[in-house]
Amino acid sequence: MKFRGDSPIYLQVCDKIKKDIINKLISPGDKLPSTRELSVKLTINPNTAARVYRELEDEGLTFTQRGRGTFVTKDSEKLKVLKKEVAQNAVDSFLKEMYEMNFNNSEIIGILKDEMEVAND
Amino acid sequence: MINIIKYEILKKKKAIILLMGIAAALEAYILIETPGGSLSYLGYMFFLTLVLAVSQIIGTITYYSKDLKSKEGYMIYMTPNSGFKITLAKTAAAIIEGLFLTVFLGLLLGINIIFKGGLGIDGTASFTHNLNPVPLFYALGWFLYIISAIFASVTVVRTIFNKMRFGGIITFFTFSSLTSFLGKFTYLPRSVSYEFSDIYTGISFYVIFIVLTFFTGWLIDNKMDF
Amino acid sequence: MTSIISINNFNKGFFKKKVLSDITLDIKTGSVYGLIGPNGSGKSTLMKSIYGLVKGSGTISSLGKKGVHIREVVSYMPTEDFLYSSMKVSEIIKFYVDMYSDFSFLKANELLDHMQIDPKEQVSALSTGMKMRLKIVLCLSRECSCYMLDEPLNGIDVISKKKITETIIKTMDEERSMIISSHMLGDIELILDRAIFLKNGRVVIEESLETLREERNSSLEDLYWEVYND
Repeated sequence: MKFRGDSPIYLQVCDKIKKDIINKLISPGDKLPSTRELSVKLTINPNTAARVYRELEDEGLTFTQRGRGTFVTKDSEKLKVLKKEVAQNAVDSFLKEMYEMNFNNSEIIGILKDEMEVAND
Repeated sequence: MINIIKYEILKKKKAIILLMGIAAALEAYILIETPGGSLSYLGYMFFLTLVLAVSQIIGTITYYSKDLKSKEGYMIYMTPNSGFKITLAKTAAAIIEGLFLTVFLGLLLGINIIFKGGLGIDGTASFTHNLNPVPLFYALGWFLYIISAIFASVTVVRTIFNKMRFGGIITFFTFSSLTSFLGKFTYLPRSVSYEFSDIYTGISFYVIFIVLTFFTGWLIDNKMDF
Repeated sequence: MTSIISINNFNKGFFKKKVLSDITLDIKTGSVYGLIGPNGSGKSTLMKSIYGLVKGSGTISSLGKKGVHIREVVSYMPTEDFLYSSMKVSEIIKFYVDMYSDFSFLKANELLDHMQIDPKEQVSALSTGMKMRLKIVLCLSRECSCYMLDEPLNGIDVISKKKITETIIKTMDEERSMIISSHMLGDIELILDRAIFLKNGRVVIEESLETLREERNSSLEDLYWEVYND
């Protein structure tokens, strides 16, 4: 996994795990690697790995069973909310970029329609 | 500390074997080439003794100095052992090596005497006399005194001058000054006490040895930068 | 988080040759500290001072110990080539077993295996990368409270770097601390908790990486430029 230099590592790892959940690379109920395994796999500090799981747990996306590990939630509501959040973030970033380039809403919708047609071929 | 002594001796394994090889070769020459009882026979045996003695002394100084200077000496000085312990161990190693080489020399010379006869004098009597504890006490004391003075001199110079430019000369000068100065403490004039004059000298050797070794250890622990 | 190493007003050198000035640091358990700075900033000297190889004024103590006794609880890997070149790897391991009471023979063998170092090889026959791997093995096979690694990733191949970094991460836990020095942030940035920036022998920054990233919103490489670009 490649890291960007401008945002906290733990956030980047959280985002990656969230994306993996949405992309079905990780399924609901799956056991995630231990903090130690995660830190070794990504070559990051063990405290950072611990922070990743704390964040995910705070957001209700994972839960920890003492002595057994950390698991992805099976709660479909939470997963729906996650999917929506990730989508919203992607769109927000996109809109921010477009507005910075001074596109207005109708222009943006026009470009979107064109590109969707191209993508669906 | 036994461990440190062990490694100090092991470190010189190759050099000692080489030295023994040279001595054995020299001995073979004496045995084959020189006629028994002749002047050259005696001369060569003396030369053999000298070679061993000088090599051991120079070797001890060189190895000690190298360990303080080069990065390969780091290994010993990085361990959680006090400078006093390490210096004491190096001294013990030097004494053990010396004893070993002396026995080895004795064996070589013994071979000569068996095959080519003695030195014209009855050597065995003087040999057993010298095994008396009293002369050994003084001899050992003297060796410890000299070795500790050498180590202290090398250490002082290395502590003050990080890069040893004329290190050898300065060290020799330091050593000479040190021993002449300390020499005064080893001498109790017979006018003061006739009986104890010799014992005093012997004991003073041991006392100075301990003091100098403590001093060397102190320098290593508190003043020297590696 | 308890304090493992306490450095108080440590100074080394004088006048123009002041190598370290007014160093006051508190190294705590559970954190990996990066000692950052260009060559000559005093990183090696600081580590050697903690380990008692360099003497200066001020106090340095670790768990109540001072001077050479700090070595009983701190393991140090110098950047220099300090291993006896005529010894075999197995002999060097034996030396460490004999000299350091907390040296784990078991762990050393595991690590030698992981690093693919042949115990029967002579040190002189090892490549630079292998020698570095060996030095890491020796340092991290001790079971103690603090590990100091001086430029562990300097000038070696990518595979060695990965293996070494993995081993560093695996050795770390909440009861231990590590100090890793580097003149290049890029290599070790991801494994650090806190960064200590040294400039001309002084501590100019001592902060957690998270805070630095959040505050600055720019990469640490940019921060490095800021601090040292003059």
